[in-house]
Amino acid sequence: MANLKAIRTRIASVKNTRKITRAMKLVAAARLRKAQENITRMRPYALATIDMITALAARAGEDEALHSLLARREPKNVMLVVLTSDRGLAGAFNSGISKAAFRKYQELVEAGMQVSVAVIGRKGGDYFRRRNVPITHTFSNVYETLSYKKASEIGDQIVIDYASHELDAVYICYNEFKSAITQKIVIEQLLPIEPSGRDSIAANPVDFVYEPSQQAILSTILPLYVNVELYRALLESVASEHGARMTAMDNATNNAVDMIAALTLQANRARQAAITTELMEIIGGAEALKG
Amino acid sequence: MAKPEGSANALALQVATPLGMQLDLEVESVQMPGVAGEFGVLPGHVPLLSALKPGLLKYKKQGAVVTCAVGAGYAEAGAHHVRLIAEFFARPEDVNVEEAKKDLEKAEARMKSFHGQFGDTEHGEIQKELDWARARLDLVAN
Repeated sequence: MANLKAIRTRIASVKNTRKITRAMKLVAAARLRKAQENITRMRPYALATIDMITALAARAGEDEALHSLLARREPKNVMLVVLTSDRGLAGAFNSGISKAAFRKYQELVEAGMQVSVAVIGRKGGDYFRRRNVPITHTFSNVYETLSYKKASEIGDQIVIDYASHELDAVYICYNEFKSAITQKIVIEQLLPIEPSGRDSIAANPVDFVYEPSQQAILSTILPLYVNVELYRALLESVASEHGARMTAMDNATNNAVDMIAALTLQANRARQAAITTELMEIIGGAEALKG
Repeated sequence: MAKPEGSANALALQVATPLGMQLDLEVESVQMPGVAGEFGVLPGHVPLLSALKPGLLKYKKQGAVVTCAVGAGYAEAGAHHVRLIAEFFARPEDVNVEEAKKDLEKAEARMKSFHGQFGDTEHGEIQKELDWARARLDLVAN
């Protein structure tokens, strides 16, 4: 039977852990509410923008003369943009996305492409460095002050690399927010822009009237696509992170509660055993005196 | 998002900003601040894609004209729908006049001290700020 004092110390320590995990859960829940609001507000705008741009891209074709982001090239140089978090203790949030991104990386390398990785968030950086994957860009401190402006700084970098033929395709890997308990790992092609609705254009070949001109609109709206899509992915990722952390900390708190119950039972048994032994000794002593 | 589709003699109008879907209703006509000048859309319009500068958005619903302010963005119109994506959106009651005036002063000061190329990105940014401040003030003056 374990030492009673040791068990009591253990109980005290688990109680402290429970306090911490419960506090973290509450903080994550509060942040989740805010992050969830941000992403649900952003979604209609992002979807409308993307819808408009992919339809526009379908009409514009692959004419690089119209805009450098419309060009489609044989994918030789590919970049993976991986969105992870700065902080851990969020369950499988970071390991899940990093593993999925690493699988995609291996797949692309096996297909004979030159693959580089851009990491947003400290955790992903650690993961890929351990695996000796070349990291071309690390964007840190993105989450502390997440704003559209921050997303466009990253987006502008990607646009420049793509326009200067340094990259032929860009994929983005992030956790899509479904609910507090579920996140979906998504790997999406960011560039080249995948045109949509070719069939409906074939059925109705009337082109848009462009105001001021097709080229002027393309030159401002295509960079917008990258920035909006990136910003949306960042917001999705932040909401997912808080959701994952909240669930992880909820589980940890429950586990601590279970453990405290088990340890208390053990402590009671040990105490009872000690009392019984003591009683036996007293009775034994009394019997001996009688004799 | 499903494309809005209005009934025969109406336009489905949608306005989305990064802060959410601001308008989603059926109207009879829409007037927008295009970069090449203000223009109107009636049901049956040819497909159109226009860049917008900050200004006033007017729509007619059941004969009554409603005016709002929109930031820079894009508008896509078809026979039965108008879809706007804009940086900002404000109804008259949302406008903080003091703030708009301050923004206008700030933008005017920046424009004065601006010595770059006319028409480059920074110039465009300042112009947008100016127009957005003016649009909000116009909206409350209306």
